Amino acid sequence: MGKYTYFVLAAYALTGISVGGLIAIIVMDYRRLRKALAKFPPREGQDRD
Amino acid sequence: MWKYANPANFLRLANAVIPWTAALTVILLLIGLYGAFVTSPADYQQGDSVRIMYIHVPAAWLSMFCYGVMSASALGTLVWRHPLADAAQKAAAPLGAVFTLVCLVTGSIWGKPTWGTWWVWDARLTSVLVMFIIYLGLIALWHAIEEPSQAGKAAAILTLVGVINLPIIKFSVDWWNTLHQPASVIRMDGPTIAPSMLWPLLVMAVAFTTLFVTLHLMATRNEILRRRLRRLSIIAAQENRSAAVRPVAQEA
Repeated sequence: MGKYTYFVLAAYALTGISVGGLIAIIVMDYRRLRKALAKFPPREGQDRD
Repeated sequence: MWKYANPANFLRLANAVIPWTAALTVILLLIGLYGAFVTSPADYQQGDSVRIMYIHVPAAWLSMFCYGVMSASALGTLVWRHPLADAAQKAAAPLGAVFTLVCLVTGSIWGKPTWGTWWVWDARLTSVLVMFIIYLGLIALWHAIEEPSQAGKAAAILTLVGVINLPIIKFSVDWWNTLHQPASVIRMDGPTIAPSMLWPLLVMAVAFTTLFVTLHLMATRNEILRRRLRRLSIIAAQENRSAAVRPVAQEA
């Protein structure tokens, strides 16, 4: 690419970092919640999912 | 739709759909990036910096689409009292904030080689910045009120007040003299962009949309689990308290 290579790379890298960070936060939150919910015994008739 | 008002039904649906939308997102992103970097030409004026368009424009569309989803959820909370509406609304706010931030940052990076400046206070840029601040305000509001249903109602009202910003963003380039270019894809007389640039842009837009659907399902699922955890923690605390009080009562 030409003289604007660094601008293009910076834009794509920052987008990747932002979206990747968002995905990581959501996945870690899910794992933490599942771990915390596993400490409670399932009640009668409750769907554990 | 009311069938999925039941959180257990929604969780089953989300668990089944998320892998498929995630896979579709990856495939579309690969096709879109191939089009953006390999098949589409550099612009005759902007050179290769035009390739920023393939993430900037989808991020901009999605930032507005996400606010539209939040507004529909806000109506669901206030008018139809749909049990999952405020969970869906709360889950969408951080996604909207991130995509708006991506739109602002990539626009700024694109602006430097194209306009010669990182930022100008023109109508389009300023109205998008206002939307970003509204997103942050909504996230702060949810964290400030402990009771989820009260927080949901307050956030729904603020979301609906902020809807006024959506047409301002869309038509700002027509209503005022701005440095930002006017619409070149969604126009009454058809797109003015070359087909070789249009198809990668549309593929990336669909990819960003499926990415949003995936992340929104995941975040809403988290919100349902968070509320279930909160409810179970309260029940467990009440049971522990009654168990502690019982022996004292028996002694008396």
